[in-house]
Amino acid sequence: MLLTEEHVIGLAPDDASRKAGAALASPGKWVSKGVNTDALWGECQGSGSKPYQTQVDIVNVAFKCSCPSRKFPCKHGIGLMLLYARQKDTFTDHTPPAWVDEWLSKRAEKKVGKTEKPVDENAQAKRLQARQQKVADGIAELMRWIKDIVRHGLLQIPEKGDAYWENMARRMVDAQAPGLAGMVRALGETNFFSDGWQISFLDQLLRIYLVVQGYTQSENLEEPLQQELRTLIGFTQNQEALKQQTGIKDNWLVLSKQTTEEENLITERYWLYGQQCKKSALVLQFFVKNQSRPEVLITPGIALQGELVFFPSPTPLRAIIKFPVSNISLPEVTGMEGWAQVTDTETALYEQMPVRSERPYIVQQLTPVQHNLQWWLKDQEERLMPLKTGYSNIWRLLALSGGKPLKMALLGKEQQYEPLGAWHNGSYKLL
Amino acid sequence: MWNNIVNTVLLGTGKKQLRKDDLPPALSAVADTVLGDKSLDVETQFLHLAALALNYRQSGVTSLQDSSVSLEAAPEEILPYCSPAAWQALYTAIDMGLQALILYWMEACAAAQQLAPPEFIPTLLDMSIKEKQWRNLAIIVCGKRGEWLGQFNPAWAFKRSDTAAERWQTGSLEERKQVLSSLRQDDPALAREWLQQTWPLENAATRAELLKILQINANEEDVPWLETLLTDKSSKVKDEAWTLLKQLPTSAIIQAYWQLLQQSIIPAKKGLLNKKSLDISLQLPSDKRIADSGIQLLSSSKSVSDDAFILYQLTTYVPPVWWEGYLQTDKKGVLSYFNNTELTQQFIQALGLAAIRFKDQEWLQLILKESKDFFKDALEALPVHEQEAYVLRFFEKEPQFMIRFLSERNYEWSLPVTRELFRWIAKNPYQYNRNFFDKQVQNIPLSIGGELESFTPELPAYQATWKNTSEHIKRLLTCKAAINKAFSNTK
Repeated sequence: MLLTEEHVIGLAPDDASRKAGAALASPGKWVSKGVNTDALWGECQGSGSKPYQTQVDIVNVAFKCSCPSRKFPCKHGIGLMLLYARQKDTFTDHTPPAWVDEWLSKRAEKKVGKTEKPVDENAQAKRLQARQQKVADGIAELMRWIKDIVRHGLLQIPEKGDAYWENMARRMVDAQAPGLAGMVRALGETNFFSDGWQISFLDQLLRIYLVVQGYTQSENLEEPLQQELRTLIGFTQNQEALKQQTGIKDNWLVLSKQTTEEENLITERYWLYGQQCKKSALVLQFFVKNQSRPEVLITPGIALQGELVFFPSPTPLRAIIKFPVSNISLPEVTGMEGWAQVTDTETALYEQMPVRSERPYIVQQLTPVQHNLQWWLKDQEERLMPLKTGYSNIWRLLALSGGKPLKMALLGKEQQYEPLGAWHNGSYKLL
Repeated sequence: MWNNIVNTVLLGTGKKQLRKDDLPPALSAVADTVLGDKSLDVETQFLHLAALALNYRQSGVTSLQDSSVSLEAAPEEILPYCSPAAWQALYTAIDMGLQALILYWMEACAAAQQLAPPEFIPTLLDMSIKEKQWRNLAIIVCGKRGEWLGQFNPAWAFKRSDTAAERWQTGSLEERKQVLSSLRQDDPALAREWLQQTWPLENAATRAELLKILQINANEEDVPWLETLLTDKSSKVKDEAWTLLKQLPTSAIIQAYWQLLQQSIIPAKKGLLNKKSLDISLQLPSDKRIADSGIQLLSSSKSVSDDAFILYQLTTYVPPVWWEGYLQTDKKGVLSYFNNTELTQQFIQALGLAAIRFKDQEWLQLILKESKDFFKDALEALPVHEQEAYVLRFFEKEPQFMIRFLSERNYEWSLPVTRELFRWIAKNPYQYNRNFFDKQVQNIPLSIGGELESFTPELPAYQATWKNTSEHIKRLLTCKAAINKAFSNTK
């Protein structure tokens, strides 16, 4: 297992788990523990009569613990992995006990044994037609609302109460267009106290308009663009069907993990980059706080060797991991030469799809510099791009750089980029 | 272009409509088509054109070309960076939030003449904003990179301390006290000279504060100047001068005390066996300075007369060795004089206090050995190994005082002392929590780690608490051991 102490700590779901996990990273806490090429396991004496059985599937990057915690990984998982990262030599048992074998073979069976339920295609078509009608009705109402805003102007917009936005968002939920509901909510969440709010407000309003226009005229568009627009409206993609497709096999660098929480729904966003294919990817994991947890462990700062399947899109970004994958050390990658290459790529992407989210890039030889009381990143050709406003890790980045260029992984679009990590003395440092 | 679009939508298409001229020439043809399509309402025309312009803007983003913007790189480091093992130890200490270990790490790193890895510099400098006493160390271990970062973040631009002379001249009172204390340790005469030079410029409160520092290495050369301060207008200054003079045997006041003691305590031989004893009677009128110097004239205890109380106090200010000459006997002989009557026996404690005051180790050892009483002030006067032996002797009697005393030491405790302390804390688990051990980690010897379970208290209710505490101590010691190992050439 390649995880270092820093990687394991990065996996902790919260501060409390990190601290509790660190407290369990001592040999005395473990009744038994072992490791082999497939798994890492241990039994931790908790408050119950039986010790908790904690296991990590090293090959398929998965985790399980018999404790009742809903956290992922739980403190036992953190503790076991930390202990292994710190004191590998204390893991002298290399024969997995029955409970580890059983879990590993069940996982293998799951992968082979899943059978599709028969689908009633007529019923499915009817449901789809009904939904499309609902969406069309919702869109008509949304268009009236947007035009109303445009007709009356934005001057009074900051005074609108929450209900103004929430009512339309709910209407979109009723119309089975949750994607549009989210976009409307984001519109209402514009920071009306900041300078230039009108620009970001209008940008978002136009994105909604573009999605609606694209969707309503999608029969003339190519399939990937149609799919992308459907996704933006809120139609879900069948992930099982997606997994059946052939993906891209590569060494995928896990550049960063971002976690957000909204109404108890935790969203983990993993930004990946393929060593050979040079494609960026976004892998999402969702779970309800304290209720459910995925089994998949993705560790920022190392790489996954395996296959990723991208959601259909003219500018593919979101992807799912096709198991099995294995953790490997971060491979060597060559990034883009400079900002000109980044902006050219962005232009080409906008040509394909005008409504896009930010995406990661790896760029060689960037130096943080100060200009007009702001931090920028300068490339080898002395081209400058501003750092995202409010970027909080500037000091760590600056300390690593010392005024010298670094290869960086960045996330952004247009004129807002934030470094996710930087290569320093041959190793990738998460920021 | 974008401003024109924003201005239009700010007012609303009901009042202002988008015109072809508002858009860049590249979009003119499309604008003609859209604005010419009368089947579209003005809002749709606006949304069509603005959406088009949005993508025109997004697609046309370029970076700024400006060769004049540069950043002078940080100077090359002279010292080497620490090892990966030291890096890991610092990471653990920071992650566990163990301030004492972070400080310990910085001390070890500075002693090894190595540097902290660059990614930790912002954390160490941030911590040093709050912990002012860390700053000098942080400056050292953060190297030139830290100094360079201070150009961009003024909160980190800690000034490397000026010379001692500069700090003495221009520093705050606390800084000046530190400078004077340090100088007084190394060169007592120079420290006094510095104070004498600035004396006329100091106010009364500062004078008193600074004078207090002369207690470090107080010596007879101080006496002439201190005696001139007895006429100072400030009573605080006078009190401090008296306190100092009462520690210096050559001072006139100690001589006056001794003269009165010699007149009032007369050796005699009593009884059939001619047993050595002392006749005590206060010879008045005494020197006025005796009362001025702070000697209490009235006894607070009914069982002790005012005369005896005054003489007892005077005895605490006279070097015990003088009694040997006066009574023409050795130390034990002196003690046997005082041991003879119930009244004079009480003076043995005064001899002990005098031995502490004048740091007379031989007398102190003898009295501590003979006495069943615990002399709290003796601890400070004893050398380290004697301190620990004395702590062990009276630990049971004064556990909390001993723990407080030990926690203020800047050396690693011996195993026997640590055992005693841990055993007591294990039995009283709610008085000293993890925070206590976090702060004391520098004092705790690593070898105690293997013995923690042996301190498990008998009371079942306390056992779980001690188990948790000892797990915490083990983690602290593991991290401390990692730091020691990482800098093993120096620790």
